[in-house]
Amino acid sequence: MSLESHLQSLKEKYSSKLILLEKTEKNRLKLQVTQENLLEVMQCLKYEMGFSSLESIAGLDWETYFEVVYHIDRWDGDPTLLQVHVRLDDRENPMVPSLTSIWASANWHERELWDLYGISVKDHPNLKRLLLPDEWDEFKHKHISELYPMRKEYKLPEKPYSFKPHPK
Amino acid sequence: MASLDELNQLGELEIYEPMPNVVLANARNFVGVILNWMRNWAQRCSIYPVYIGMKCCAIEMAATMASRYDTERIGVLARASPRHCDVLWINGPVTIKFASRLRDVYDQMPHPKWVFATGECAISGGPFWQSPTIVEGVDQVIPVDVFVPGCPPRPEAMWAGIFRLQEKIKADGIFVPEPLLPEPREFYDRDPPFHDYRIKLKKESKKEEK
Amino acid sequence: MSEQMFIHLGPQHPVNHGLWTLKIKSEGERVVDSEIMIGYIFRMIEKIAESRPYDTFQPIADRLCYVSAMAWEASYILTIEKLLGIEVSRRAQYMRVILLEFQRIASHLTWLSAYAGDLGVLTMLVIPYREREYILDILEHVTGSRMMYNFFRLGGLRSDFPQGFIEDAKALTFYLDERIREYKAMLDDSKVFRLRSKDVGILGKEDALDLGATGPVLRASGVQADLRKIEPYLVYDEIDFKIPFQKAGDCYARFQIRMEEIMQSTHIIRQALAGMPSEGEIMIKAPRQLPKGDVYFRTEDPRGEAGFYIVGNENRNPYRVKIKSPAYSNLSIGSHLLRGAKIADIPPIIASLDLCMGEIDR
Repeated sequence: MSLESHLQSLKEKYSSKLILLEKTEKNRLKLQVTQENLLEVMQCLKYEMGFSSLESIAGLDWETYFEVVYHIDRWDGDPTLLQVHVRLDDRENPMVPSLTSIWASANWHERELWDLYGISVKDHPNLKRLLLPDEWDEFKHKHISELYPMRKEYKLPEKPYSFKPHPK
Repeated sequence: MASLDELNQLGELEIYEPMPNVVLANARNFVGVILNWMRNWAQRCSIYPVYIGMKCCAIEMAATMASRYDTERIGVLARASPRHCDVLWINGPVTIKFASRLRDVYDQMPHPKWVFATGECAISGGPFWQSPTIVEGVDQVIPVDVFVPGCPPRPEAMWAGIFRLQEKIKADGIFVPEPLLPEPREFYDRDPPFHDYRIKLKKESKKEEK
Repeated sequence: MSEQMFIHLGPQHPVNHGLWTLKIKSEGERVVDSEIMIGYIFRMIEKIAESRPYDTFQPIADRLCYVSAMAWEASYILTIEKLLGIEVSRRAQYMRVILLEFQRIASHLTWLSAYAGDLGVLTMLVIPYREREYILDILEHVTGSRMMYNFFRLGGLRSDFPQGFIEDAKALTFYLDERIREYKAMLDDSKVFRLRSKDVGILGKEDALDLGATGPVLRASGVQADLRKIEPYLVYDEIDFKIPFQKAGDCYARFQIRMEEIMQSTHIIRQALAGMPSEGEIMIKAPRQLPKGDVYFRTEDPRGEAGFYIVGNENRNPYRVKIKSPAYSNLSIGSHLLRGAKIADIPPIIASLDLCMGEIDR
C-alpha cells in the first residue's frame, strides 16, 4: 500500500490509456490522460484502487490550449496524492466529462470551472454561475471585461479609476 | 457598475420621502427646543447597528462589542432586523452581487439613519482595488457619514469613530437656524446624506410664508 | 396535509456567519430541499496573484480567512519554499509551529462564541473573546498587529521573539487549559445545549469521504485524518500529540473534537517552547524568479485541509495560484446535511461546520 505499489498497479492495468506517469516527489504521482479516457481512469482509481476523495479541480490557461488538473487523495493513513492532467486543445468549445457520478464533491468545483474559465462540463446536474453574479452576461462595464474573467486575455487594470472627487 | 442611476432605472430602487415631523423640526419655542434636545440625546446615546458581518472588519466589530472594548456601555447594541436599527455599520468590500441587497437593507431602515463605514475596503476598495467585481468604495451605493480608515482599524479607532458619529448627530439635530449648518469640519466627515429632508422642509416653509 | 413553503435566509441574517443565501423548501417543520448561493464577497484573489510578484502576494493571503490569518500565510510560504527548494533552519521551524498553534486556539475560540451563541447560550457570545484578547496581545507583542500579521517570510520569519515571550507564552497555556476545562464542563452540564446538539446533523463515514468533508467534520465521522500526522510538515514529526476523533458524526461530536484540539494545542506549544534550539537563521534573500514547474502543498488549517497549487513559468509573477479551501468543501455538504432536519436545527448544523466566508469566495 505504498507509492511504488500504486505505480506498479497503474502501469499494469492502464499503460495504454495513460500518456504520462511519473513520480514527482516523495508522495506525489503525476498522470496525464486524454479527454476520452478520463471517466474510465477515474472510475478505476476510485473503485479498484480505493482513492476515496477528490480534493480540487484547477483550470489553467496556456495561451493556445486549456488544461485541467485534478487532485485525488485517500484518507487512510497513506499519504499518496495523485495529480491528473487533462489537456484540452479546442479553444472554442472546451468540454470535460463530469465526475459527480463518481465523487459528489466535484459538484461545486466544476461549477466554478465553468463560471470562471468557460470550460463546459457534460452531464452536470446543475451548471449555473456560482461565484460571479447571475447577471454578469448582461452587464456593461466601464472597462474591458470578458464573460470568463480568469482567462489570460483579461488583464487587470494598472491604476485605480478614481470616481471620487478630491475631498475639499 | 451598479450605480444608483442604473439601479433606479432597473426598477429596483425606491427612494421615498419620509413623513416630516413638523412640530419638532420647525420648533422655535422653549418647549419645542427642550423636546428636540431630549430626542437628540436619546438618538445619539442609543445607536443600534444592524447585524451585517462581511469580512475582516466584522471580527474587529465583534471584538469591539465584546468584553474588553465594550460598546454596550454607551448604548451600542446590534439588532438583527433592519427595521429596528439606526446605523448601518459597513465592514467589508461591497461587490456588484451584493450592492442591490445592501441598498435594500439601507432602504428598510427607518429615518433618521446614519452610515458608519470602517476599513479600507469601504473607503476605496482596499487591497482588492484591481478586482472587477468590487465597487470602489461603499459610498457609490449608499451615502456615508463617517469613515474610519485602517485595515482593519483597531477597536480604539472604532471607538473614536463612534464618538465622531455622536458629535455629528448632536450637531445635526437640536435647532436648525437660518442659514443651515456650515460644511463638515474634520477630514473624516463627508457631506451630509443627499436626501436631506430638512432642506426640503425649509424650502416649503419659505414658500408658505410668502 | 401540510403545504410546502419556501424560506430564504438571505445574505443578511444573524445565523449565517458571513454572507451567503440559504433557500429552503420545507413541508411543515421539516426541510425537504435546500440550495446554497455564495459569491457575495468574491474578489478574484487568484487573478490578483497572477499580476503581482510572488513575494508581494503574502499580505493578501492573510485576508483569505481572516480569523486564522497566520495559517494561510504559512500555507503560501511553505508552498513557495517547496517550489524553490529552500531549507529552513530548525529554530525558525519551531517558532513557526508555536505561532501557528496559537492561531489555531484563537480560531477555535471564535468558533465557540458563534456556535454556543447560536444555540442560545448567550453568555458564550462574549466570554471566549476575553481569552482571544490575551492571545492577540501576545501575538501583537511578537508581530506588531492584531489580525493581519504579515510576519512569515521566505526562510523563516520577519524578526525574532522579543524578550520575555517564552515565559509569557508558557503561563498563557496553563491559563487557557484551565479556562477550557471550565467552559467544557459548563456546556456539558447544560441540558438545552446537549439536546440541541446530540443526534443533529449526522454524517456517515462513506458520505463524508465521498462528499469531500475535511477537518473536524471528517474526524467526527470516524476517519482518523490529520495532516500533521499523515504528511508531517515543519517539525510536527518530532512533537508528541494525539488526534481526537469520534464516531458519532453529529454536532456534539464536532464540538467535543474542537475543544479537545485546543487542549492538544497547548500541549504542543509547551513542548515546542522547551525544545526550541537557541540559535539559527531567521530569513533569507528571495530569489529572482520562480522556476518552471508546479507544486501542490497542503497544511492543516483549523478548519481542515488547506492547499495551494502554484504553477511557475520563469517569471517573477506566478502563472497560476489555485487555492483549495476547507470551508468550501465543508459548505457543499450543507444541502445533504439539512435534508430531513427540522427548521430549528438549522443554526446548530450550519455553525458546527465552521464557515469563514473569506476563504469560500476568495
